Amino acid sequence: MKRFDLELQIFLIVAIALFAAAPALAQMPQVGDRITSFEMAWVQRDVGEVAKRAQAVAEVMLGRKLTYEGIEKSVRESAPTDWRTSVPDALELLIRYIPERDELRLIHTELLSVIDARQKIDERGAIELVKKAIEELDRRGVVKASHYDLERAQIGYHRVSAGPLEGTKAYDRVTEYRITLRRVLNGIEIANAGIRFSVHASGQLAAIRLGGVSVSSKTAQGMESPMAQGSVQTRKVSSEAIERRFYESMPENAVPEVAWSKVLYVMPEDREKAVVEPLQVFSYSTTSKVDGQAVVSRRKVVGYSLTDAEAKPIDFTAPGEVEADAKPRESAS
Amino acid sequence: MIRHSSSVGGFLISTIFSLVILPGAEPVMAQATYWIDESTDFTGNGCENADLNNVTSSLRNRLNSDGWTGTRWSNVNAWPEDYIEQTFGIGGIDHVAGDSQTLSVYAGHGNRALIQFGFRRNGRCTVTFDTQSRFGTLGGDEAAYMMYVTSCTINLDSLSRHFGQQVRQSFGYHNSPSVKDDQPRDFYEETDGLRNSRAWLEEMEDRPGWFTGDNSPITLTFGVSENHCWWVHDTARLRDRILLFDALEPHNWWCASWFDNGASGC
Repeated sequence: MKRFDLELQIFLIVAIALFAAAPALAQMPQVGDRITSFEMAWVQRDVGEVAKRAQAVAEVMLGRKLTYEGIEKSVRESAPTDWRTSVPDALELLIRYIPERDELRLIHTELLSVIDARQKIDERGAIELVKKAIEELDRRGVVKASHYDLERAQIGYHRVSAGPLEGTKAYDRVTEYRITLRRVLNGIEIANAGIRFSVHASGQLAAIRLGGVSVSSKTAQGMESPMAQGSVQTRKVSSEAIERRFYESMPENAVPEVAWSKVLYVMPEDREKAVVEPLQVFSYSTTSKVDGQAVVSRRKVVGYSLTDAEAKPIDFTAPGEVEADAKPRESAS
Repeated sequence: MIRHSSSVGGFLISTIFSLVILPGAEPVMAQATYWIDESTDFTGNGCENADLNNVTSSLRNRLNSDGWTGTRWSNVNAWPEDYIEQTFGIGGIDHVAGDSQTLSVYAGHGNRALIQFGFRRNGRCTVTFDTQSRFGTLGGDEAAYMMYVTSCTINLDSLSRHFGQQVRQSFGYHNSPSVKDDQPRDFYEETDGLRNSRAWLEEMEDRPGWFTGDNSPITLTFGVSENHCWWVHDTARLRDRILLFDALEPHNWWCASWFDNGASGC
């Protein structure tokens, strides 16, 4: 009887585990399943539209009302690559809008220096806070909560550490939980659209980054279908066949380490608008022996077609043109 | 803790310390100079590895347009000995190269406290920091800021192998990073308003426009004391030319901040 109970318990645990994993697995297209390509673009927004979004994000971050005029001025004066612009009635905030990526970034500068706050929130608490923030951003029309799946949240950390040169490490602390949610399109994530919340250990939002490509789609019965260009195809290439191709492509004497591999929509970096189909994407580095020592390559990101086994992989990190030095170097200079 | 105290008293002490005591102890002349070596061609030159995209040309152009002066060498002209300590008697020329300017940048491949060049020279492709390098004032040279656009060079398990450098800050990665062409330039531009230590992390966590969080960028700072270390960490800004001069001596403390997205590859 006891043995039966144990078997029953094991069965139930396995069944529950499989059931829990089932939605994520079921969403990944298998050979013979339909996959859809969509038109995607980095949309151009005018200052007013960006300012309205920024106001909503800033108010969610700080939990208080801000004037539209102040935010609008900040957005108008912000530059894509610097952080000079603060918000007049929220001087603790820095704001930055990157038009070519339709991306809004806000940082709470005062929290950056607080590395020894009493830990008021743990990882689970941070996710709860993010859930509420997304609901509020949805209510304010900035994002659609249905585009994000908290079960797929990617969690990173802002850590600080210090110590004397002679001696042991004095401390090592997590000061922010960095929670990234990529936009999900019929169960498949988009590499180039999403939200990242940085939740400070004190329980406040320290930074928000949101935006990326917009998808031209319409939704019916919980599924999105292309509104403009785009098409439905059938997956023909198995994950095993793609993996085989990937590993066969590795140079001799280079040992690959795959950081992650998943089916993703990836917008070509040099295009403002494109029809994008999901790919099996590998993010990896290789280790080689050089001067008798192990050397690690910079990260490579490569995508393989799910519909054409012969299609050349897309190397998102391909070297561009080499710029030669203007003059030869002749001696120690 | 001074700079990082959340109490009012701590803040006041921090402010006085920052505005009066520390600046008074620092040299005053700003030196906007740079040295950049970059390897992108790793094929058939005796240092086999994957070829890379060029990530420092646009940085060089932006530095020049901001009035900085310096030198950028690439591929066959980027030499391992540029980062080897001259006084060690092992062929190093860092005193006229990688350790001769305020900001020193190397882009290529790497590993823990190690960088790899694309062209073999004098029997070498690599430079190992703890045994071959002494950047900054410890070796009597000039570098104050080091940037390594390489894999794993500032992996957390190798921090102590950087303790032979006497520079203000080093920027690098705890893992193997994916880096787009203009990101070092964009990092520099972001230091107009944002401290170096945070700008490096913000810019380098992803490729531009990606939300995959591939990289674990890290800023490693040195100081004569714990308070001084965090003050430098929170104060230095390259483009604003704040703390753009040699580090105070001697270094006794290190402090670091990083976005931890794993140590993949290292």
